[in-house]
Amino acid sequence: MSLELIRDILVATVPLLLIFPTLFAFTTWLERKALARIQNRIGPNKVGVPLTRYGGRFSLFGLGQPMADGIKMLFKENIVPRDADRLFHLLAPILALIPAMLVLCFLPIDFPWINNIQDSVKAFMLDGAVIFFFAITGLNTLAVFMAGWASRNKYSLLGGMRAIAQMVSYEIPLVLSAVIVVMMVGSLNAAEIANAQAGWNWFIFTPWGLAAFIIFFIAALAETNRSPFDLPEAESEIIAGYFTEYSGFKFALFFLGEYIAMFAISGLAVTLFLGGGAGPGVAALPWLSVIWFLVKIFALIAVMIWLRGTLPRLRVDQLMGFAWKFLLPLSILNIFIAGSALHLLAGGRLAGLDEKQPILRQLMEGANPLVVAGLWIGALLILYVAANGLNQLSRAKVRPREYKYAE
Amino acid sequence: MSSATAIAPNYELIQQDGLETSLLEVSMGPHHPSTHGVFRMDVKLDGETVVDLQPVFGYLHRNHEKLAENMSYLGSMPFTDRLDYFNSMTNNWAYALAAEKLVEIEVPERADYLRVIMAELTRLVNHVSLVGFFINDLGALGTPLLYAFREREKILDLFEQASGARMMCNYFRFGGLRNDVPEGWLDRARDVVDHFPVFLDEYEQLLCENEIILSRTQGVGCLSRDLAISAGITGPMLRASGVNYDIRKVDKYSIYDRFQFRVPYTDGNVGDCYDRFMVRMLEMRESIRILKQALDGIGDGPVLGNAPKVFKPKPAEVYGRVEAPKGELGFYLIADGTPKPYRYRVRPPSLINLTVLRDMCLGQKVADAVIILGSIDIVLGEVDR
Amino acid sequence: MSEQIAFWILSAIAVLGALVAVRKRNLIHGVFALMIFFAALSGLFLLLLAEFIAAVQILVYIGAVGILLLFAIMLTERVAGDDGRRMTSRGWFWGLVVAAAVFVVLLLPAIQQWPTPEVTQAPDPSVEELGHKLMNPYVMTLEVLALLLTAALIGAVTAAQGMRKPKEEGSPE
Repeated sequence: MSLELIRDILVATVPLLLIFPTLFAFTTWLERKALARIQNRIGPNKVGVPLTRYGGRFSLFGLGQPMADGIKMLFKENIVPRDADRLFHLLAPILALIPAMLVLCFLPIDFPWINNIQDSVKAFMLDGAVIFFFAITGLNTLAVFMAGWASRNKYSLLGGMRAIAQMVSYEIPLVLSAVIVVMMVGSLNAAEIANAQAGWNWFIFTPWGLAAFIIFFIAALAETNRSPFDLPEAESEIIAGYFTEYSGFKFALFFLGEYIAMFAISGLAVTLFLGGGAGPGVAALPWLSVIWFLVKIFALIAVMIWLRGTLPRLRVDQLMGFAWKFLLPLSILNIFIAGSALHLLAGGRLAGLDEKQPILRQLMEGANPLVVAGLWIGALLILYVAANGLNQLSRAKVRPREYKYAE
Repeated sequence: MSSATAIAPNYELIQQDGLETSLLEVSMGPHHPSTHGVFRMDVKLDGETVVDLQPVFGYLHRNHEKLAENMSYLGSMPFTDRLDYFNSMTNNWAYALAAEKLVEIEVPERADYLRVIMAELTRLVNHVSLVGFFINDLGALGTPLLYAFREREKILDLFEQASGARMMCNYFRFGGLRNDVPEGWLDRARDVVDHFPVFLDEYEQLLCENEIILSRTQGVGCLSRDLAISAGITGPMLRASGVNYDIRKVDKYSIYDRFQFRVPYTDGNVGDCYDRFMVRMLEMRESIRILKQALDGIGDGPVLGNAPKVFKPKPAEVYGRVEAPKGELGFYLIADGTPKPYRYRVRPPSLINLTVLRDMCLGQKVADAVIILGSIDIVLGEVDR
Repeated sequence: MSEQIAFWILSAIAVLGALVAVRKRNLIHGVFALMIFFAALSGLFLLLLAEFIAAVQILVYIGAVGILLLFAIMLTERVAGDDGRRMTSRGWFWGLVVAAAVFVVLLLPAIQQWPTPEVTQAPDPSVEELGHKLMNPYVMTLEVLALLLTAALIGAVTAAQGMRKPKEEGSPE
């Protein structure tokens, strides 16, 4: 094994292991602060520079809070229930973190230092990068089940079962909406998908891409257990779900894993629909693409925080119904629409096109603007009608009611 | 062969030969985040569906009734604050009303007006925070609750200025009130009342049509009109099940007959959590109407009638009740001629409304059990006493 | 060289995982050991540059089959797992014979020059090639398989519906 290979592997991975946990710390602060503002509070504003005597004087909007939290978590007692499966209780938080960390390397972020290393250690250059992403994200369910089962707590078990059912169900619309992008690019390679959207050719600016993005984002919320799909950790029902019995640093690991998973799935959404690192000024300054990538991730996370502060939670049966009776048919219909559009635009000219280029994109650019406008209106109309119809179908029948007043 | 056990109108537990599933018994509480205090529900679950539910309470029992039988009549007035600690004013009032029946004391007009004002402000406090807690039980991370608490704080400020305490007010006395409100209090109260509808508009706009709230609460925890009546349910919960019954209208106690207000109730078609939520929202509007009239109509005068220095009633049995925000709050007193009551009994609306919890929860999901409990509106201080 | 090391490590993990999966009395532990085995196998596929198969190995075997096994165990009576019953059954002798036979059959081509079909062209394991193959010559097979799976899905839903049917609203209790 050559030293060069080891160096390249380290260069490719270590920065990811440093950057994203740092961003995690920042995100917890952001979330607490944003939620506080939504809820008419101030949020953390006291902790400044921890462990120094300047802490109280320079509070820096409470930016020291994540570090203080981390230190607190480290020194908390590690409580394991007497009847718990000690090995699995220990392994679960670790197993929750590993897949979340692992999928980060499938995000095509053009860090300046990875240009000099060989392609074989760049995971996002794999031909099946997108499939790998979904495969490894799916491992999270195992960690959740492990935690729920090993704690020997009924709330944990309920939370674990809920989590598995939810993650397995929402993975399907998630993958099916990613299929749209694969259809448009003709590749599962994350870097190629991102490159195909250079400039302003983002896939969200196509009718099926827009619909797929919305489905993808909703499914991603469920996949990462964010509100309004936070049933596995529903506080008002099952205390904290599968990590009811976790304390101290094990709990912190779960927390970290959850946030890293949020970064990863937002990063995938950015890669698939929001043009990856594309943005103004990238052509002149290539390192701007990293900034744009992270900015887009944070934009999506801001929406997640916003939703968390505003929406109540769904019920289990409604959650499953939403995945199977609403998102799944809609995403299949979306694939049909994209396929029909491809067929319509190509009209038998498929053979003449360059297979290495995004086919649908080429066709859209070459087509008559009227046809493109027609496709937009037609596709969105069909999807809208279908969504409305599905909504009507799955809506629970409610008897009419009337409010009266007695003088 | 399979056996089916009907546990609820539209759910039955089927146990097929060879496919028996065991039920999961969960003891929700007494330290569960959403039991509103120290309350326990022994729940049996088939998957996520509640097939049996047994409320267990008494964790907060403080021997309230027996304590009151061993002290003077007025001595237990501060203890009534602690019954339903959200609504100390109405608790005081119900007790004062019962005691005033024992010895006929004339309550001055200004005191009556202030009593009405305090009671209706209490109703606003209770309903607004209940709606907040209810949405919190639905999983909304406390955002509506904190906005509700912002309004509640304004009213609690008024209580503090009048009585010196924010929650344990101990403000009522037999024959009136402990003291008059301070200078400028009525103007400040008017200000709070005038601004309350603005908040209420915003609240209604955001919550009443919210898709998730609709789908979570409609058709959940239905309480039929008949069951509500036979179980002795009172208050907004009874009105949500379609019974037009409000003690303010029935008894016309104090000076409630002077005010123009309406009692919202439903047609009794559903009686679910959404109805209970909506009835409370509508009731707040009517409370504001009463408050406006009372603040306009209040005159000058004393606030404490000629109550005897030593409260020693003749042997008698009385029952005094008010429309507390949670339902009918009554005090039953038996006097035996001594300065202490022979029997002192509280009719707590929280406890009696809680008795139908099992009937409402069977066949629902465990998440619904939580919001059904939230929609009943209990305070454990009153349930356990 | 590095591939060699990786191969031995992954193989060791796979064998250990498989052994633990068979020997462990606690069912849940066994399933997780089985998943470790699957993961190591996926790593071996990656070493062979068959990345698509590797991904599918994780997706299907760990993600789907493993979860299915867990659910099946949760539905059995001994959820806790610790089963005191004897692990060996009476058919252990024949089981051993069959296992040995399979092992020998697998080993034979390796130790002697068994006439295996000649490899005329090095296979291209890329995802792209796989996609073209699936969409061009094997499209009928794929469609038939898809139809079969859909039928199975619908059948499962129907079976589940029949077991627990909620009564219509308004029907007498």
